Amino acid sequence: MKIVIEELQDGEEDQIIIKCREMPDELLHVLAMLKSQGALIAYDGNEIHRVQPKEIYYIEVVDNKTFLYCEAKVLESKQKLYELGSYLSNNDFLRVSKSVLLNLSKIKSLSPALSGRFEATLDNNEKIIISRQYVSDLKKMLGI
Amino acid sequence: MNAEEILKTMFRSFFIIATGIVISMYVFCLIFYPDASFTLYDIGGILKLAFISDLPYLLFYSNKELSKKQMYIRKSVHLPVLLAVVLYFAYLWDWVDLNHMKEVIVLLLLILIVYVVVFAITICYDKKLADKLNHRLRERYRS
Repeated sequence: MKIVIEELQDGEEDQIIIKCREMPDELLHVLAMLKSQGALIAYDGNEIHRVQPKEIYYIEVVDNKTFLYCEAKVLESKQKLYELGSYLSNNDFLRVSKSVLLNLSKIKSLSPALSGRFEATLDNNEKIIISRQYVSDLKKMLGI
Repeated sequence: MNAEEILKTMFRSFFIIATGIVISMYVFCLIFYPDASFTLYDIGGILKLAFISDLPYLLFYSNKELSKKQMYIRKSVHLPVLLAVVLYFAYLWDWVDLNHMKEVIVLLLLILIVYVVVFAITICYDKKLADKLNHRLRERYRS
């Protein structure tokens, strides 16, 4: 796919023009993200929801499906964990195990969980294990 | 722990266990066989025993991340398995005489002490790091 970025003249409005024969899924995702202005598109059965990153406690992949866990609801996302990871990297989200992205702002406390792992207790009292291999990323993110 | 993590842990533990065995053998021989001398064969035995003692770590293998409770359960299974494995090979290589209860008890106690010391050091280090992380989290999000 060719990407062209042109500089605008003074007074011209920002615009995105998409030229394609068919709309591929990737492009639909990008459009959905642009339209939702930072929010993620997620599904609850046939219902479509817009979820702001700050509402999400953690994101987990279970049986190749991606789920967004909010305070009291669980929604499904069509995006892969690595896509969400790169999209949310500026929103306090951190990969804490092979299948979980955790919103650090929702952590109430951390406690040791043996073998260099940690257990994060979230504001809604759910518990998430931080795998040993991701502890260094957490330390880096918190400036330790 | 997944396969990669298990292998990393086993690699690290091999050296800790080998050191533990050398210390235990030193104390054990000081008590029961002060005139003992060690051969090249015995050094090989130490390395073999360190490798064999590493194998019970496979009990921690899991595709999913184990919860704190599951980890404690596996840890409580790991210790007796480790004691049994070490005792069996120590007996097989004539390092310990099973007819002398005192020898067996001292050997098991030494393994237990090394195990508990390593466990306690790890827990202390993790506790300190958890405190630091909690402090930073509070500074960043709760201030």
